[in-house]
Amino acid sequence: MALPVSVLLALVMLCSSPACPLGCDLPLSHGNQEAFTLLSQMERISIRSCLKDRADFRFPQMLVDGHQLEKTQAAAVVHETLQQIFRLFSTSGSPAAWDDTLLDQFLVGLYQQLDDLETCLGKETKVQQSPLGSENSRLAVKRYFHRISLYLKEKEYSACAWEVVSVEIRRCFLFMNKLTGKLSK
Amino acid sequence: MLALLGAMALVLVAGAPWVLPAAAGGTNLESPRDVEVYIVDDSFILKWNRGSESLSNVTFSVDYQIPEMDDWTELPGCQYITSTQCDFSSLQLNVYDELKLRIRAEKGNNTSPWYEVDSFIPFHKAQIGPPEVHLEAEDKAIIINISPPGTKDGVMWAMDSSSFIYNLVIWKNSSPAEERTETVYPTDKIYKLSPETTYCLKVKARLRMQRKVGLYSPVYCINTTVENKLPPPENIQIDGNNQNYILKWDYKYENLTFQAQWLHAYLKKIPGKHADKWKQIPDCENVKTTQCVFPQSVFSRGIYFIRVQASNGNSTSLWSEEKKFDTEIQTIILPPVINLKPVNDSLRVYIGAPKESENKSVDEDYPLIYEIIFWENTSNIQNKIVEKKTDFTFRNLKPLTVYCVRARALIHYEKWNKSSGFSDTVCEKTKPGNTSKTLLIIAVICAVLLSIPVVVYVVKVVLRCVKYVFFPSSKPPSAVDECFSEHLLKNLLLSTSAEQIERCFIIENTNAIAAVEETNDVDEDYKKYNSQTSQDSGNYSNEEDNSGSGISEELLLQETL
Repeated sequence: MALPVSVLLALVMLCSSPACPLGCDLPLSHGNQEAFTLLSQMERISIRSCLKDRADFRFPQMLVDGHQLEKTQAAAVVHETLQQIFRLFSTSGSPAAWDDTLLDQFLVGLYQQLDDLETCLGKETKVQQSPLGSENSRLAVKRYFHRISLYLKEKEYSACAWEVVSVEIRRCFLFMNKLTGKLSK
Repeated sequence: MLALLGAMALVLVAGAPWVLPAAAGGTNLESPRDVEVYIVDDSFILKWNRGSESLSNVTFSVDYQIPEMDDWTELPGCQYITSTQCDFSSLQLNVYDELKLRIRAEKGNNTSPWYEVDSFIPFHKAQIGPPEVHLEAEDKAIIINISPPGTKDGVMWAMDSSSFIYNLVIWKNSSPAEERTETVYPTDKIYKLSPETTYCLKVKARLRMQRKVGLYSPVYCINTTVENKLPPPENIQIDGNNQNYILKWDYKYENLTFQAQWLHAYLKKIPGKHADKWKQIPDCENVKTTQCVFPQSVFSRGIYFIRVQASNGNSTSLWSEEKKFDTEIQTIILPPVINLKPVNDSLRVYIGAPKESENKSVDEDYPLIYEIIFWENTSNIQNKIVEKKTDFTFRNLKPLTVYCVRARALIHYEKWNKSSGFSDTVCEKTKPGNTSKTLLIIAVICAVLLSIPVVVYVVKVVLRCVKYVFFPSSKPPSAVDECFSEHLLKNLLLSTSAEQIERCFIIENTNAIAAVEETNDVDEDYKKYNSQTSQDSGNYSNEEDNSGSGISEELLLQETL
């Protein structure tokens, strides 16, 4: 048990050093901005009428402290977050009131970002399987979205619940912007 | 003695953990051994082996603990069981939270010590199970429809339903050794198959970029159908041109009509059937040629799939292969503009943007790199380099030689290989060798040449000065002569009488000294004119009080002559 862990740690250390840079030259922040705007445009009910439905989803601390993440971890967090947002808005339960065209555009944008990120990072993971740090980071993101999914289920996918979630996701994009800035260096 | 006591204390302390559990449980029973957790999709199974005593009437109980709990809780369905495994899938656990398990054996009133399994996160430990596959055969293709692993309401992969990608292995039943592996979407097609053949395949799911690879599904076999009379169109190409896209394809036969459809690429990522989501491309319905043109406004920025079908009125062909179409890739890159500048023995290259860039030019987001080919005009050897900078230098070139350069822009991006055409060839001759040395010599010569007249002039002046000081001429200047000769002599002789004094103003540029005379008439203004030249060595000053003495000196001079 100890040996594989130390090997993984070594890999994490190795890939934090300049010797192992992530060659991703991606215009991700562009996509984040668009997605943010689309979400704002999709708003149907003012959040002010949904104040009673507010909830604390316990936004993962690592997204807030984004600058402390290593590059591989940051990439994993961004990838996982984008995947989760894509899943959240593409599976059934999205409110009928939302504009289909805007929703389509939103999903298209997310898909593009994911495609770009996967193409770029796919080459990296051939070298080493995702190190332990990335796995834990992904888990934190999954837990966060799990809480959001449970909340929606509990509120029976009401329009207000969706607006609350929409606001929360916009917050995600803001923080991801910081992380993607780190990735493209 | 003290050391002995210390050693005994150490033994006691070390021994305590060993002693206490034995005291808590029974002394006879051994804890279960080789306890392992097996998680596949949503099924959680704990397996173990009995202790060394293979006795009957031994039962086992399992407790669990999750972060929200303060203490151990009995695991339902796993209390006092006789078998050596227990399924606790029904427990609605949060698969992302840490889980702790402990197990012990019981016999009558005796209990073994608890054996604690290392705490773990179910999601990390879980194995991806086999996916479910539905097949539909065409003549040269098989349509596959894959359901994600786990059950529909399963919890384990609920957050990853759209993150799975699938590896498919397919082979002809008649030749199992020749397999083909492909990465497929949940809804996809396998092409390039032979009609009327039995194919077998198996699929496994994978979570991209996470260390999880699933188990293979069972092998499914299916027969491809008889070859369809109308084959599907082939070789679909899409090119951008000004404001339009041109969709082209190949078809064997003539006199047929075609139609083209498109689908958002992201829909492929979501499991489920999307047959109804394909939409017609306007201007590409019932076209008689093997191409159609439609405006770029039809597709907003994104990734799409396009398929084409042929029809002869009675029957239709099957759909062609789905062509992935990324609007970003359709941008045309114009060749760059090169400027060459010879500098000493190097050639400085400036790569500039093309003169006219179309409206739909490459985003600044996608950086360009340049492939530069450069060669000596007289030789055939071409050197190729790839450069990211737009301003660089070729060094150590031969002097007075003509070098030629041409370049093209490439999109520096993993996703695609798009390049512009080559720019015009630009040739430039390098500067002559040792130019710096030559310049230096020329500069020195010029300096020397320029300085000669200056030096001569300065020497002349100095000589004159020296001559003036040490070898003065015996005659006073002519102008002064006229003025002073009579008047001054008279003054000298008749210095006491003040009546006949004439004021004499001599102003001469070169050799003058101004004579200032005072009159006894106090009312009159007296003006002084003082001028000095550089030739006067400063013995005569401008000031009034000195003027008198200056004059007297001149007079003295006059006297001595």
